[in-house]
Amino acid sequence: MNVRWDGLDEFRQLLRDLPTALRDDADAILIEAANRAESEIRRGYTRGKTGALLAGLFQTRRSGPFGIAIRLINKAPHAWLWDNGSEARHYVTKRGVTHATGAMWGKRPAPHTFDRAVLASRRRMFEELKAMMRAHGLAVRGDEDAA
Amino acid sequence: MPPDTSAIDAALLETLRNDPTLRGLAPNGVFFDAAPAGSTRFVIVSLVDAADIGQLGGPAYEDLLYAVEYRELKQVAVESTARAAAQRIRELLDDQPLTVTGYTWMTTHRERPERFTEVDDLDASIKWNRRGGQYRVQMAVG
Repeated sequence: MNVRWDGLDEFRQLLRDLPTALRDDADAILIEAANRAESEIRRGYTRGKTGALLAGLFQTRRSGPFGIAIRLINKAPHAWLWDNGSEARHYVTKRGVTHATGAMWGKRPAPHTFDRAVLASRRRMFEELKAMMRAHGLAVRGDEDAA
Repeated sequence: MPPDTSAIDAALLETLRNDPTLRGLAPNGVFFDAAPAGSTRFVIVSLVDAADIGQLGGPAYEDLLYAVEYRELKQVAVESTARAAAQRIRELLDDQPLTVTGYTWMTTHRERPERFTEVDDLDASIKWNRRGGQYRVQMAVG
């Protein structure tokens, strides 16, 4: 009995190219996710006297043969306080006058600007990565929505 | 009628408020987002992130991430209870079921600890101890 398999060479080539194709598509999704999160965070920040909060936000990118790694960082010293809220700021002048305010913003609830944007963008990124893999003919397992 | 997500917030607050040990450590109380003016030792709960997770075309569970933090004004004459309060919060929440109408509890667990000293930038002698963590709560719908 003879079996003839048309397109086997093309199929082998497709498999050989798959990691590169997946990596390239995934890189684009990751870059988009990081940019999306950064834009959302910038929209959530208020420009203060110095603009340090906005200026402190940046990305680092590291590329390798298996893909790209992106870190979104805010190096402003008060970035954590912005995200997690601050307590009442008050001070007393040399003349004994109490001021119930601070140089930054005083008491305020936590807006979680950074965390919310990053987590929402990451959730969307996971869905986009799964869709991309399915588009390449792969099955995504462990995901109930894939059924 | 869909279940009320705010009821999950309320259940979390009640768990913390009903504990006499935590009340002793944080006598001003447990609050969502902000404490009343003049408070010096209290717990703040805030919502970091939330998502409705669907399965098979319908809502399956709600995924909520809370920041739960003990805050105290650092005072020389008063011994800090930040460490004990943060640990008590963890004991009350970590892997402890929440009972909420319309939901079935799936998990409550700490995802990351938080510890920070907030210093007033005008008067460095004014400091706030802040300690707690981010807790993930997942509740199945129904």
